[in-house]
Amino acid sequence: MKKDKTGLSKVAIVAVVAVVLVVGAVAAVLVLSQQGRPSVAEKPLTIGFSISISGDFAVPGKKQLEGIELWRDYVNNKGGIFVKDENKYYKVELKYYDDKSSKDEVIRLYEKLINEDKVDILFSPYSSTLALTAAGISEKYGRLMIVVGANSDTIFKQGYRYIVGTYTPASKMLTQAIDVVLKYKQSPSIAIIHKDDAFAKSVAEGAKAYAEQKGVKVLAFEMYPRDAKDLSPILTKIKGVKVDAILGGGHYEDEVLLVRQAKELGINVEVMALLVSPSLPAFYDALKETSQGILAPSHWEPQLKYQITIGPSVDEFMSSFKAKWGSDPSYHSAAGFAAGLYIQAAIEKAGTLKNDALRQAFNELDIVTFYGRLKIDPATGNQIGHELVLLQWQGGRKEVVWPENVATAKIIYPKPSW
Amino acid sequence: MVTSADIILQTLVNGFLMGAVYGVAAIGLSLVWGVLGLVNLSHGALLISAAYITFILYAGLGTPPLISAPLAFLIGAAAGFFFYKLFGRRLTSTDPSYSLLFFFGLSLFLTNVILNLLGPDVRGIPWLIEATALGPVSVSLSRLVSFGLVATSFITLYLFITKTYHGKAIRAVVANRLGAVTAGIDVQWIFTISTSIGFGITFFSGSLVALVNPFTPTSGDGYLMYAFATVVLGGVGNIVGAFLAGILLGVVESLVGVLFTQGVSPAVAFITLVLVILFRYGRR
Repeated sequence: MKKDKTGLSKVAIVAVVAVVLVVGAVAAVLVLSQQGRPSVAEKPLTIGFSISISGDFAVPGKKQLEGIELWRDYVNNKGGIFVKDENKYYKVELKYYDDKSSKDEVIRLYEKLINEDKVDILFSPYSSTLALTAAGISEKYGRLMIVVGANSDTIFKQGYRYIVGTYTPASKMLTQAIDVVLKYKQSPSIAIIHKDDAFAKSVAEGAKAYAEQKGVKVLAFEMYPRDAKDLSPILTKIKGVKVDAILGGGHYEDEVLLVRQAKELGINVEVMALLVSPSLPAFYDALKETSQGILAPSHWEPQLKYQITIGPSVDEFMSSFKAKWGSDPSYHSAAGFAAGLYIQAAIEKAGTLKNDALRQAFNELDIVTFYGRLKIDPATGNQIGHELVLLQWQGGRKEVVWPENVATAKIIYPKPSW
Repeated sequence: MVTSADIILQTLVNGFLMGAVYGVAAIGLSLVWGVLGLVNLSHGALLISAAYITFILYAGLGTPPLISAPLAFLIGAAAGFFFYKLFGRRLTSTDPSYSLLFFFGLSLFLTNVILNLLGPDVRGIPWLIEATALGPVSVSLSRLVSFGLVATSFITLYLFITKTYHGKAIRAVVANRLGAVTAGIDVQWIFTISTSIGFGITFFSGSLVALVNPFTPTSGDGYLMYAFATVVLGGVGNIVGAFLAGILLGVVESLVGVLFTQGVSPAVAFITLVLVILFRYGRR
């Protein structure tokens, strides 16, 4: 091997250049990566809302608030929400006030949240009435509002551009009960009766439209007054027309009365599905074995196991809820938590906190949380992804019976005679 | 529209049985209003308090409403007695707007006490949710029992009002307070027993409401509305009138509900009220 001076020096030069290059590249990568590492934003992301801590909606209102607060802890423990455009993690801060279940308070508080507190994003108050009021203010200022605890179709028919729903719309709440009748009965006929209020009316009209579309005969469509203490007139009328199913209701007192008087008047049907009261244990206490076989829709039940794409599993949710609040969550709490996951997913997708871009991001978002699937109709913001289940009282226990692929017990059909 | 004879018969029976409860539930309001000149806006809340007492007796001790109804009367009568001793004299001697405010406040207070102690859940007594067939008509057993209690209490009260000294004195005070004083009737004592009986019968009717209907802490408002209509229809301070007016209201509501639609039955009930006022009081 021939070694001369210049040859040696050539090797040395190449080696030096190589070392310099490698060191430089490593340094550059280190520097670049240091610059690219996301930091934590100094100011947290604020979500503002009013919630009913007193007044008519206090009980569900508090349950919803507990769900939202648990989500805040969950997301902050994970380091916050990542916003790509700013390359920052945002911690979440909640700004809320008691609206005393009053519309006037809602107007005052949402104006305050937007103009004085300058919150980044809004959640709706609980109940359709209050959410509809708040939605008007969200529209006025172009501030994004996640609607939770409210599902009247009216909210989404106003042409508002900054609202996003999380509950299955009221108009779909009794359509599954119609599916049940259709499965077991050839050309069935039904009666729909509802309380004189906006929510019950939306449900009843939605059920009627669905029934007619499926070729089910609606032989009675009746409304009863808010303060009715006697439902025998409406039931006597139904007794005269002979139907396979009675669907409807409105609230607690009237629905329990409806069941009681249907039995007392000897009206037997194969399906009886009511709107709200059967999901509560008090329903069984007030009726005992008379509750057997009665159906009710539910937004969420802890037994349901979805293939989740975001957030905690249902078991993690249940145990952390119990650990923080010392009680079991209701569907209001689950939806409150899910509303948080929903906005979190939208921010991560949009990579910004700009409300217009976020609203746009929701249009393409399709996620599954422990509360179920969430996907909106881009035009209205109304929820179309989330599905309800049907509950049935069976021997003093509440079972999920529909849809059949998630059922915890087989449906009792027909409902036993009184 | 269904108008077969059986359906009409069923409707009349339903209306009569419910109306009897409306009737007895209005007597307490009518009595206190007629004798003391006080419009008891907390009537509905008092009635629902008694419904909760009946519910607690049933759920906690298994006491059937048949026994708790007379018990509720006694509790109510005692409450009425002490109520008059504590507030009565002051309420009857001040401007009526103060007493209205007082009763409104009392109503809110009672409702919220129940709400905080027992929660907002719907309550009902799952006792005797049964029916018996009388020919083509299905009759609720709990409503039949409640009617038995209504009839017994009404006859007792009627005999008290018409046959005893105190009963006659109460009627005298309703008719002409000054005249009653000049005739030597101890008006303060009559006020006391009227409040006592008024509260007692209100509690009694609350117990019956618990027997036939579910209720929540805020259900009282609806019963107050019915009681108002019934008292005005039957004549303030007129116990027989209140009872008959209640039955009329129940039957009208039932018939309208079956022949037309129940959505308009409150409107029809109040139109009946307006017509009665026009013809009964209008010509004076």
